[in-house]
Amino acid sequence: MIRQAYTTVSDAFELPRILRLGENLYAASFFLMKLLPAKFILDRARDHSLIGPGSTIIETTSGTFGLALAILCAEAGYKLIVVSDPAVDTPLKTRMEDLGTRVEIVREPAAVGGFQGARLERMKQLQSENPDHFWPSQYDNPHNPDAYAPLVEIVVECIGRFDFLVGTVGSGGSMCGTSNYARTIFPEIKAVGVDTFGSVLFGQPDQKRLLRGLGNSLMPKNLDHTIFDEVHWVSAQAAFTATRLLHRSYALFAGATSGAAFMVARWIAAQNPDKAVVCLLPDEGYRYIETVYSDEWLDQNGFSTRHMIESPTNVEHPFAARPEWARLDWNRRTLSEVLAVQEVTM
Amino acid sequence: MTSPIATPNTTAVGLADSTWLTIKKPDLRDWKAVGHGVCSAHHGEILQGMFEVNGKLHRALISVPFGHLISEARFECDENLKTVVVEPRNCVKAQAAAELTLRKCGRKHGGYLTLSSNVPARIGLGSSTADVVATIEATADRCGVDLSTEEVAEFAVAAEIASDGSMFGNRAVLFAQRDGFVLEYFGGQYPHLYIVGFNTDPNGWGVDTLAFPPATYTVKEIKSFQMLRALMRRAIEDRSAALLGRVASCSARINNDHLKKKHFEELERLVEAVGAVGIQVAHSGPIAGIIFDPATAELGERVFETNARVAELYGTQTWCFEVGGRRRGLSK
Ligand SMILES: Cc1ncc(COP(=O)(O)O)c(C=O)c1O
Repeated sequence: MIRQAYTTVSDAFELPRILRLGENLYAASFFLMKLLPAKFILDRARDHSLIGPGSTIIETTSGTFGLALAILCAEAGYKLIVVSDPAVDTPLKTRMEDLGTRVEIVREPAAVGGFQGARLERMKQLQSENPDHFWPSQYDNPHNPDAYAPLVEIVVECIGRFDFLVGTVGSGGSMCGTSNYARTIFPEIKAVGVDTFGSVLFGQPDQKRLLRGLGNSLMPKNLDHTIFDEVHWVSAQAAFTATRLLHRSYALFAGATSGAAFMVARWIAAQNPDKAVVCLLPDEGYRYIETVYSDEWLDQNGFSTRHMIESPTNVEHPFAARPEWARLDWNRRTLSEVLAVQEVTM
Repeated sequence: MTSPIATPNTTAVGLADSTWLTIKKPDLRDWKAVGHGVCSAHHGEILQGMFEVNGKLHRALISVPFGHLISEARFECDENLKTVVVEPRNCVKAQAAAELTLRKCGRKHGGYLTLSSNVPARIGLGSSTADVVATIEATADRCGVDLSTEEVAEFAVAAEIASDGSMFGNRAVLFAQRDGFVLEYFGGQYPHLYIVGFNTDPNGWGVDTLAFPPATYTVKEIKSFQMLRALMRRAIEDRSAALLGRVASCSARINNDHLKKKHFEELERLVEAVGAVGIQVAHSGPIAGIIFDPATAELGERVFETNARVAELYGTQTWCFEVGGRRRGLSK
């Protein structure tokens, strides 16, 4: 088909590039994956007359969903307030503010739910001050997972059939949405979720986490555990190492969650040489230039990216998962089914 | 070198040593007493749904070519008639198509249209479109106008409101059946397919295409159609019967929620059980087909098994045909 000039940046940048990284390993490499759900959510809200020019959008996020909203709101002329916490990085905050977003930082964590809880509280407050607002609610809005059909579209056009889908889980939107759409065509596809230690998503107790963008302190409605065949937990150390390897081996300059997904996908591709593996790389590396890509920062924070961890430790129960890398055969079970299995201490 | 002087009614023919000869083109306007047209049926669809183009939604489909059944049309002008007299008399869509084509060709008179067809009506094989397309071609042929396939498609939709993509023969296109234009040419050829067809409602009355309202698809279904369109591109590029079978099966499943086929779930299980690659259905009739990759081992046994199961489910016989690839009887 004939290529056309794009009329908006969000249109131009919403789809990933599909890269073949190995014989049976493919990557869907995004500039900003969250453009897909942010756009789908705002478009549906506009279709239902929930928003129009000049509307106020209020969301809590310290990640890329905020940047995606900032881009779309700048394009459409919506006001945007983003409630964030001290973990929000300067590059992200700078870009959002330059796009006209009001970024509110909460300073103290809440007793339950940590900073995420505190952000929610502050957001509720702002929402009552702006009764006409719209809340995209990426964690619970079903339009988040429903936004991922165009990803499946480009993947099947480029490679046809595939067997494994590997991606990180934060809201669950990208993995649940992509798996569900892809399985309407290829029901056999195995979904592999990548989480981090100290995230409640797949049953670990909540803890402070060094690896951001994946994992969660609260359980989002958009996470449907029963789509997953395998779950992996990776540490910041392991993910950072893989992020740098991705860059050094392929010049693929991506964020830390991309590194985490790549690490797991690379291992799965090696274990299953006759199966096609697709991993999702959600964002670019610029945000991480001062951290993951800085040897000095890594050193100061006690990380070393010299040695890639080659394989995970298998566990039967989420409580048994220990750094740097653990794997559990989830087998499309619910979280309570998985937690009900007797923990075997090793 | 001197160039030939070409007047609108002459054609220049180059001979070996660049001597030129000009010949007079025959006046096509009245060179034939009778115009001829022919169009084959189709066997339902591989993909049928709603697709977005530049923010606008269009209903569109990819038909399964089915060259075994055809409609043929003969058209004669009659300066004394204002309208077209059609035989058989009930072919009113074809009559409208002939009149429309005459006007498009600048003719104010009518004529005689004779159709002969072996395409059964109302079961989703595109009998009406086959008649209409053959008619348009015959009428244009009589008028000495060489229509492009795209023009035939446009006239067909203008004459019968909704047309199948039969005019494109065995070229894979995504045809907007109510807008009369092609959304996408898939290039390449169909992969080689072996299809076992049957009627899922052999004792029923069939369907009048325009009598029931077109399906209203959900946003998610429209997104799925877009994915299937993308997979179709890959299926054609790789000449993959397996991928094409997936496109057809998914489209059939979505559409089954809007127009139910009898025992559809059993058919889906049948596909698995006999090692077929997919199932395709007609959107406007009870026709369905089980798609095989002809390269599958023991194809004969699998087809035999399919026949037996179809007979059990519907109490009816099947027919087999091939699409794309290098067909039997075609020499290398
Ligand atoms: C950089 C990055 N990677 C991955 C994810 C996880 O994606 P999802 O929320 O679809 O589970 C996020 C979510 O915010 C993210 O910001």
